[in-house]
Amino acid sequence: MLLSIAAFLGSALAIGLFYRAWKSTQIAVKRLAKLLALLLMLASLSLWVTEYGPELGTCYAVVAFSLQAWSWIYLARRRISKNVKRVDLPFVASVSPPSTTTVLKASVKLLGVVFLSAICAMLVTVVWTTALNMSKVNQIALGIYTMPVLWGCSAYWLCADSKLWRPVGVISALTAVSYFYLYSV
Amino acid sequence: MSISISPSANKSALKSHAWLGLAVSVLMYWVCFSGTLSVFSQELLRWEQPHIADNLDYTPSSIQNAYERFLSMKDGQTQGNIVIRLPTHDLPRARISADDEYWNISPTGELSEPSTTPITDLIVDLHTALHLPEELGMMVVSVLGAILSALIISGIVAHRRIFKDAFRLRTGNNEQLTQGDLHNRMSVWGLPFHLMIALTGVYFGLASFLTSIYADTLYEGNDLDLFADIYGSSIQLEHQPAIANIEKALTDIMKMEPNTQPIFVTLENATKDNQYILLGSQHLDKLIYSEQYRFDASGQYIDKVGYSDGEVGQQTIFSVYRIHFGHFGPEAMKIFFGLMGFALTIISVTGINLWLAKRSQQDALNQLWLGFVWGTPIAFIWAALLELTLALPTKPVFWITLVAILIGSLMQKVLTKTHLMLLNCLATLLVVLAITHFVVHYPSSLVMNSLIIDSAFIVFALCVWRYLYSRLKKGWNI
Repeated sequence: MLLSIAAFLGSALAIGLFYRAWKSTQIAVKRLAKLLALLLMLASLSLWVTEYGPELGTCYAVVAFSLQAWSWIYLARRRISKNVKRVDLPFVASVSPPSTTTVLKASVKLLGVVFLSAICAMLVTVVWTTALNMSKVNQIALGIYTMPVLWGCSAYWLCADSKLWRPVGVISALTAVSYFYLYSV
Repeated sequence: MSISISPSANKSALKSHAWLGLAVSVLMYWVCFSGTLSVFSQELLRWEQPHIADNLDYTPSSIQNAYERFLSMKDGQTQGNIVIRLPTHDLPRARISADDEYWNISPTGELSEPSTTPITDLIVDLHTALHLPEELGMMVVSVLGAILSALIISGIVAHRRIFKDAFRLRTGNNEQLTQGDLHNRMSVWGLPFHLMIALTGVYFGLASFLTSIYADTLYEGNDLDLFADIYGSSIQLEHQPAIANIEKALTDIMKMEPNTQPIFVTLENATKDNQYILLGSQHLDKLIYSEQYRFDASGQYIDKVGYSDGEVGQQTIFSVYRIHFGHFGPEAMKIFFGLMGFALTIISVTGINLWLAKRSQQDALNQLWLGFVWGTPIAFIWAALLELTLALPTKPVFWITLVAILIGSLMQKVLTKTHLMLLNCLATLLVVLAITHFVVHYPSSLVMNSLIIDSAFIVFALCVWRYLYSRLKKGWNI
């Protein structure tokens, strides 16, 4: 219990130091406060882990840190009392339907985000994880936890690039190469 | 620390973030909101049937009695497995089920009454499958998990002032500024949690696709070999007794693993010649859902599957459920998880609010979004109220109510009026729900769990009124 309290206070103090670094205008103070905050965070994590083991301890550390940060932000909020006049945007009764090109482009994007990215992420994940020197079960577990990140990256690129054909082309090519690598070797 | 993202990368990331967010807006909001409530599913189950006494004093023989009674009620035959959920601290009541039939078990081993929890099911099913057919719904929800990870990635790249604004929260009259700050601060400081929710969320509906590619690659297409490696190989038994000795298995596990908490008993291949007992027992210092101990039908211990001391990979796969729903550690952890889930809900709402505010006009999209955001909790409560008072089915009522609210929102042209009306309606219904539940279930509603939940509804209603009052103070009463 004492370790938990110490860990909780440690991460709260770490947030406080981050805040101090954020507020300060002096570079040296900023650096020192950030360094101390990082050290305190690590110390807090290790206390949580000592008390509850690596699995539960890490979860407690993450949850405590986020909630403390939000509380700190709330307490340090800045009220802008300047009387900002509410701007009510004009109301338009009808919704103009999007053009066919827009709908088509959006549909391709959506298909790419949901299907192409998914297939690509799964195949690429299997390719890279099975290349690692670890047991099959560990490869699968690593794949399960990292595949969504690849999927997310692919979906991000599809929606970010101004030329849709570029991500579609590259992701399709990656999918094809991975497929042939897995199923023809 | 100096991390710089070019303005063009930042701009395109923002575009990607907005596009993805809009594409999944309502679905993401439903999943986040219902997920937040689902964290408390066990408490809600107890709230729905408060007259079922909470009790941890079940003995192995009372569980055996319940099983035998259930079996004779089913004339000794079931199509699927028989599952017994054992009492635990977060859900101190036992339940037996097979073939979609659920019965509560009294501490003396009688089948007290069918276990029906339509309000909890309404919420949990929206989170897990959006009320769609289960397999399809779970896939859609898992896709949302992947898109959440895309939103996280694009959000990080789009946020150029991630360090400069780390603690900035500006409140006051400028709603857009406040919402933007809330969206960014909650996202950044809750990042590990949001990422964890996204990664584990993908697992439930889509892991089977990934594992089938692994099976093709590593196991020459043999799925069963892969499942044996991860989930443990199945065991082949013959000539097992017709009535399983669950009592012996439970008694033995308490001696063998005194530091674990038995949470369920599954009778695999129930009522068949090859039936056997699978006993799940939770290791309280680990995140795995449970270790599974196998016994033959006469209660003789065979082996354990080995999740608790198996490979790291096996343990991480079996930790997905408890990490995702926050079902570990003390009860307070659920409250923390609930708060973090609520933050994710706020992020999903404020994101769309910001996009709407940046347009040069207001139209039906604004009306619909208001209807979805405030209409969803209203429809939940209305469905719960009609279930409590008239025993109407919750899912149809929920959808009819939501559609009615959306139509109503479209008909009301002044958005602030719609907003205030929905807020008032929500707060009032929250109070009505608490009172109705208390009255309908009195005196059973005097148990601690029900009192806390009913009081929480009143507190939420006060929060909604407080929010409404703050809007009025900002001059919304036009």
